[in-house]
Amino acid sequence: MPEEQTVEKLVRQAVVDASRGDAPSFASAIGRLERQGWDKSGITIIESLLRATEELPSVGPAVAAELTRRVSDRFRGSLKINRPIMEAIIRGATDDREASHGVPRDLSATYSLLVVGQLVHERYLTVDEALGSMPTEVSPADFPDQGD
Amino acid sequence: MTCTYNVMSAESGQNGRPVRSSVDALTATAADSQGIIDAAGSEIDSSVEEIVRVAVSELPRDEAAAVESAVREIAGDMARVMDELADDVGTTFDEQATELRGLLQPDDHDPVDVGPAGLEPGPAKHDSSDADLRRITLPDGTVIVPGAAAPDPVGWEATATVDDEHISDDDDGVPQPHAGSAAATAQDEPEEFKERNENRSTRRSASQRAKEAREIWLGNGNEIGNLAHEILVEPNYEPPKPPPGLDVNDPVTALSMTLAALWEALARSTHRRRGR
Repeated sequence: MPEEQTVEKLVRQAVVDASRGDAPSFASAIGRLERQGWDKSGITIIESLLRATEELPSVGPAVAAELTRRVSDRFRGSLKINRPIMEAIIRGATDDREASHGVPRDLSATYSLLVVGQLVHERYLTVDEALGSMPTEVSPADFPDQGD
Repeated sequence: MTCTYNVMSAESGQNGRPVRSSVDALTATAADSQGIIDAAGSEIDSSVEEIVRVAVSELPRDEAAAVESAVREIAGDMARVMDELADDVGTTFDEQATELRGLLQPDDHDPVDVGPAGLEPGPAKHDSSDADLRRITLPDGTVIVPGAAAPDPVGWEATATVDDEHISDDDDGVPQPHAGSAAATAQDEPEEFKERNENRSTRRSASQRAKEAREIWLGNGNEIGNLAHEILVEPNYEPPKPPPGLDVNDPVTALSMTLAALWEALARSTHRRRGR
């Protein structure tokens, strides 16, 4: 199976797990994405977040806070969710690009998947609509200032 | 690998100082009190300085604000106790009480920053203060899961309780999707969602979306690592045991209880002096 399809399948699985509130399965999908390397799926995931948040009737701090609360409440006791960071990620995709600047890449991707899953859960869009076209891969050369 | 992101300090300037300046003042005063307590054979092991340091140093700023609030409340109580001490035993506690009362003046310092600039309070249902107090933050800032490799997880916190009911809760009364229902058809959509879809006005073009996604991704920081393990709350997780006599697991309560113990020790000191 081509790598791209594998990444697409994993992202899809993570979104479905998030939409169903299946924390263990979601964490498992995150583990597989992690092993693939976040650079292979990160932009795809962020694009999904952009698509999903475009379905919101409005954007802004209050919407980000409310959406975060819903995700946090659904996964309370099963996933660790830092509300301020998730709000920052949502705002970074909607009304304030700078809000999410500097958020760790893996945390950004993981929380984005949870947010997309939440909006799928609330039927703002379907999984297919959220995923759209599949991956855009970046090379290490895209991160000249962030190498270890 | 170091995680340098701290969402609470983003665009917030140096507003952390007011919390610490008040704490420093309280600490200095309480250090004098500590000498009396020690002389009286106090059973308190931890100084106020230590407690405040543990409670505040690693907290996100919104939680630090909660701690500061607790300090203010206790400081008020301690000020009244010290007034009594000054009257009863003729000590110089009146000066300390004055100093503590100074901490209660809101004009003492700048407002405490409670989040990223522009992040306004959410809707009424968003009970962030309650959530802040509900979360567990280990004093050293490490990830809550024992034994997990967690390279500098700044700001990483967890929910404190396991509540399976919330996992399947539906906030809007929308039926919980079953397997496969994520690809819901339009005919399944409630009216409110159809209306929302008709009001889409923020759609990007595919190329614009790809460009923005790339920019956002490139703007992200270094990975925390091992996130698949870190994000999952372990079912059998037991929080670290608090110091003997303190059956708490959050810094605000620990601070309150410890200062309450300090207050009690001061009262004992007064009692002993009266008995001389």
